[in-house]
Amino acid sequence: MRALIAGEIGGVALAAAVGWLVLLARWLRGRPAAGSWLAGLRHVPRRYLVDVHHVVARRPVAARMHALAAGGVLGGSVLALAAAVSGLGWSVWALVALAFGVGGMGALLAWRRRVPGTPPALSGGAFLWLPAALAAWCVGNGLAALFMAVGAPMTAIVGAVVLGGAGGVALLRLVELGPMRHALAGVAWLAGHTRPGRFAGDGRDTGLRPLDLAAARLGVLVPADFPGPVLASFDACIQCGRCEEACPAFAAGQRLNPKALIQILSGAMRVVPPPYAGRPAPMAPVLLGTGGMAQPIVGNVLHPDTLWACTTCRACVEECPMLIEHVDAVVSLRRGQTLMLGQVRDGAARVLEASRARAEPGGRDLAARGDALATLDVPVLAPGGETDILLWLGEGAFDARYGRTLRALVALMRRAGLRFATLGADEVDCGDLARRLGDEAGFQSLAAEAIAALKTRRFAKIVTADPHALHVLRNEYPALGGIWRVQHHTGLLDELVRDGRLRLERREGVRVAYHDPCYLGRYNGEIDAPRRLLDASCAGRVEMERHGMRAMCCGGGGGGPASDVDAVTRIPDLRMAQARAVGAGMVAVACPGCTAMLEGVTGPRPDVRDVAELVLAAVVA
Amino acid sequence: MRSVVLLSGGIDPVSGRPAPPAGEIAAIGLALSVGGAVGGLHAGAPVPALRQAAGHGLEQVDCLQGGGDAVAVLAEALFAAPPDLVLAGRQARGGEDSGMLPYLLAERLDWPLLSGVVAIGATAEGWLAVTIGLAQGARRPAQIRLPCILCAHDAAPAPPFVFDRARRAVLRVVPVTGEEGPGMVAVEGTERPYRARPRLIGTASGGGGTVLEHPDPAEAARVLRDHLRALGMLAPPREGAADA
Amino acid sequence: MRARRDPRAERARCLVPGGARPRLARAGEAVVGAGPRERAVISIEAPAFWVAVVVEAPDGRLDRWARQSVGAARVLAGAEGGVVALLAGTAGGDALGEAGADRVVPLDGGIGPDAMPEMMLAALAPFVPRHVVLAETPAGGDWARRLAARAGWPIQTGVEMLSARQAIRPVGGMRRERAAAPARVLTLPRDRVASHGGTRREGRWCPAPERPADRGRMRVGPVVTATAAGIPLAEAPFVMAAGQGVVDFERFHALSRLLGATEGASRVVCDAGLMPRAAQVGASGTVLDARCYLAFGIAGAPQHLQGLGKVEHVVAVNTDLHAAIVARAGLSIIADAQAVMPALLDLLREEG
Ligand SMILES: Cc1cc2nc3c(=O)[nH]c(=O)nc-3n(C[C@H](O)[C@H](O)[C@H](O)COP(=O)(O)OP(=O)(O)OC[C@H]3O[C@@H](n4cnc5c(N)ncnc54)[C@H](O)[C@@H]3O)c2cc1C
Ligand code: SF4
Ligand code: SF4
Repeated sequence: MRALIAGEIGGVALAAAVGWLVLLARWLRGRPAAGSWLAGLRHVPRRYLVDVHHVVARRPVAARMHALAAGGVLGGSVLALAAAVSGLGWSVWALVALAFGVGGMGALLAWRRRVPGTPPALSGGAFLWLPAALAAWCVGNGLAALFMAVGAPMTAIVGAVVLGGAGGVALLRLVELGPMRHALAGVAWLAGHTRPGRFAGDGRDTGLRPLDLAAARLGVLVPADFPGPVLASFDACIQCGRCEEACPAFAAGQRLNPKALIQILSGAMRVVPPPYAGRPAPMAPVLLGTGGMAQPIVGNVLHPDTLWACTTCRACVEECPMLIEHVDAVVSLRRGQTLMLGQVRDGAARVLEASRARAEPGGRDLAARGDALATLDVPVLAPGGETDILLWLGEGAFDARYGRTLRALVALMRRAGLRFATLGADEVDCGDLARRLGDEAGFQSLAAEAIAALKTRRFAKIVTADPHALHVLRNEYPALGGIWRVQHHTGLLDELVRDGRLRLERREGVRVAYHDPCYLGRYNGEIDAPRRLLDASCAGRVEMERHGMRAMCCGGGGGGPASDVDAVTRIPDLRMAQARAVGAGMVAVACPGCTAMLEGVTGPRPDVRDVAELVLAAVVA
Repeated sequence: MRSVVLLSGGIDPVSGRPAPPAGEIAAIGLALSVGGAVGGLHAGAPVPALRQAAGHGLEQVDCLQGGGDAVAVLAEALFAAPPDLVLAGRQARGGEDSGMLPYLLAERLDWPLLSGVVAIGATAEGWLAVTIGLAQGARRPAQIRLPCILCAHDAAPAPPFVFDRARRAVLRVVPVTGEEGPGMVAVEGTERPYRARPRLIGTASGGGGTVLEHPDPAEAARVLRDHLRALGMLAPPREGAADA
Repeated sequence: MRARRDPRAERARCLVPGGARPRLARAGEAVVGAGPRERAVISIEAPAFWVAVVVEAPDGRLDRWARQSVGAARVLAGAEGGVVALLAGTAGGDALGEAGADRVVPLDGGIGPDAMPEMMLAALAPFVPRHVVLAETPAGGDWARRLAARAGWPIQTGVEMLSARQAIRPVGGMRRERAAAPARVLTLPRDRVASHGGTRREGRWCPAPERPADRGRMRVGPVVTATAAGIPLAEAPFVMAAGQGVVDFERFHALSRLLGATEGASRVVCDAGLMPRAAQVGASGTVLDARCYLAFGIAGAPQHLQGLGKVEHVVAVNTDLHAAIVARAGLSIIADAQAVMPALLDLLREEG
């Protein structure tokens, strides 16, 4: 009898292992992983139990379901094998039965999630069979264990094993079809995760990695161009739809659904991909090209608009329980399109050309960047010069509206008696836009120039009001040799207030909702300083439903406005509606991009003010 | 069909950084649209703008290095290995910027030249069909005998920049012995930084912002019509039309 | 066309009665027929030198640019010189006199560009001009270069500032400029030199040069003008655009057809799919080069106004007096676009 059970469970486990190796063989056809994939296996338990569950736990119902199902199935199966092989007594069998019972409860909860009615973000299709397969495996094997414990007749045990075996076969089939694949692929992905920084230190690892511009193939054109672990990550998607619910482009009706994107990338590896039964990207015609490791992705199985709609806001990444890196995938694909084929949208081609020829995506004269501050006489730091704070003005400085923010910031810095200067006409674009649009070559050349300009000056830190510049300077220049302390202006002002160098008095007024810039919040984890400043300057601060690390993007990042992908509604309109919904009369921002996007919302709407402007209005002697 | 695109190097007028002029990129686009072998030709040392230009679709750019008059040097190279078609931009950017080079070259080679080309059509019996772009979207068909020189219209479709092509492009240095030719007739003078001067204001300017508040629609329509007519945007009314 | 004048009779009229001294004489220049009613005309017989200008008038009209090039020739001619206009087109002789030409030589407009330098040289031969001025239009710029190349004459293209002694033009990618004595051939961009504002000149017609033999190297077909809808937005002279204030697109399209205007739109309208993306005017759309921009229901956001950089005349129809576009417009009508569009349609249809 024990042999039967061992054979059944062992057989299924063996088949699963073989299936894993088959998958692994496919992933290994991708580029080699950066570190040792195998060595990463030792990190898997911790990454799985801590980091994955940290995300999963944000949705208690799902978390409970997953804990029960995964725990029960894994625990029961391992214990059952152990019991069957070692021949331990009835107590162990009872334990096995208990574990499978727990797994069965998980199956029940999994069933309850989709009955009655599957929530729109969840996939149907094969997923509808998952609870039944889990239930069969757990009930069958659980009963078998129970019968073993109580010494039931052989026929009963055989019957239970047959049921469990049927469940096992069904689960194996579901590995092929997708729903159970995450269990196997997830292990590989967690072992070879391309951003190990997410599991260490402050858990933030958001900078894009530099590309070797001498490599034969730049970026990704075919599935085999992705690193192996990344291919595993696509297979690891459990189609939970959390990314889809968070995605601003999807909400605005652009041709992007991050979940569908990951599924398309997973399907792209296969000639006959399993059917996808989730929501597709809005308006995107399904491309019926044949996949394969060496088949082109964009234009064949993936609509190009999907690629250019992404604002690189990382909302999907923040939500993904499988810790998939959607933005990296998008940027890799963009790099392929931009660097290898020159296939970008017209507006993006224009900003990239201007970035190449003028070191400024808007094509403006670098000497005009400081015009917004002309009346304030901010010193320009010559090469060899020294100051305390280098003020990085960013692209927003060319915009008259954002000039007001910069003037407010300069007024505050003056008030606090700080010594600072700008680079003047030597400030080139930091390269953010070029990099997000996939033009890594353009980025690296801008970055090299910016780093060289910064290196010829001495200063204690860099302060900028532009979170995109902040991110690039702080997180992406170090890999290119530019290491400085970089601070966002809200961080600086917060420090000044805390040190008593600026005294604020709260102003009464309308309710103020703070809109977190993605590149300050999710990319840099800075969500408190601006709120402290607002609490000190405005009386009625309110929070939008989506805020902090889970805030919604304004639509301005990743070259979205330059690419101008067709949409049903505009992302900033959606965001403004969210501000209105909490009764905000004013939206506080901390980024030139957000300012422009939210001020571009037409019709009567809450005012848009930068935190610096509000702080200046509240400052007292 | 073998085409040669003349490249000047060039700088961007706003930043002063190396950048190929739009017309030369358009010329590459025209050359690619013809098909066949396409190469770049530059009189001078290999400069960064050439690689950028090549990123728009050239595998090789021959740089005729060694000095001498550009027209003479180019004419000699073209004479030595005559292509079917020579393409150029409307004018270079970064030097004399007069747009004379293709004309002097045509004169020297005794080849026909057409400028303002927005599209190239078929060849038949040694004649090439082209479309010339004029102001305000007007077009003019033309045919020209091969071999010939074509100057691209700035607005001819520009092929995309592809970094991969730019980095692969071969900038081949071809040493030439400088010949002082009569080519470019230099204009002596004093050079200094450019000073932007305001253009003359149009005479029919709409005035200092007339505002008509809440007129009734018929009046608004009349005012609009008269204004547009005064600006010359609307043809005068036909004889005997109502409501003159 | 006006009858040719009899030069001998005119010359006789210019003389002070009883003497051989011209009336109001300035170095060989004389005022003709300055009667109390008649407008003054300056006629010149043998100037110290000639300055030539090549004038395009394809539709029989001298446009501003053409007048400006004659004005430039006048600047170079100064008090001593005479201006001879080579007319490629069909403008009346007095129009050229008005513009400042002393002589007019008609050029065969049908001739292809290949034969143009020969023909210009033939027309210029009797005058031996010190300078030849051309407008830097597609055709004018082309002829100027052909002429300079054929004759081996020095040329200054795109002259931005001109006096009798000096011509300044950008060089080195528009980052430097060179001041030099005016060269033999000069081309003139639009709106750089004022047209002739002084007394009108005689504009006497001279015989056309002989048509040179065609070299048989190129054949140029007739000009095909684009319909308003077919003109690329960036090149369109007249753009009519819709913003969020437009809901009646049927009338909007009808009106643009009737006005012969190319259609544009604000970004919001394009985002909403009401107009194609190609119609978007502004920072992230097309930057216009139009002479006139007629904006219905457009607020004039900074990103939108960036697209109007080069537009000469802005006309706005907007319900909001304080909209930013009103500040940019030469004429603003504060009214509902949905009411103004049909009224204008009716008015134009009535005119037929
Ligand atoms: C990064 C970025 C780039 C952008 N690029 C561009 C760009 O290139 N081009 C562009 O256009 N925009 C651009 N925008 C958007 C811009 O900020 C504005 O949102 C947009 O131009 C507003 O369009 P609108 O004037 O049609 O709409 P609104 O701002 O809604 O204005 C409508 C106007 O119509 C008037 N109106 C309403 N009803 C009527 C009526 N019945 N009759 C007459 N008038 C009426 C109103 O008074 C108002 O002035 C950009 C925004 C961002 C953030
Ligand atoms: S990518 Fe992540 S968040 Fe999106 S459906 Fe897949 S597992 Fe869920
Ligand atoms: S990064 Fe933002 S826009 Fe891009 S797919 Fe993820 S959620 Fe959507």
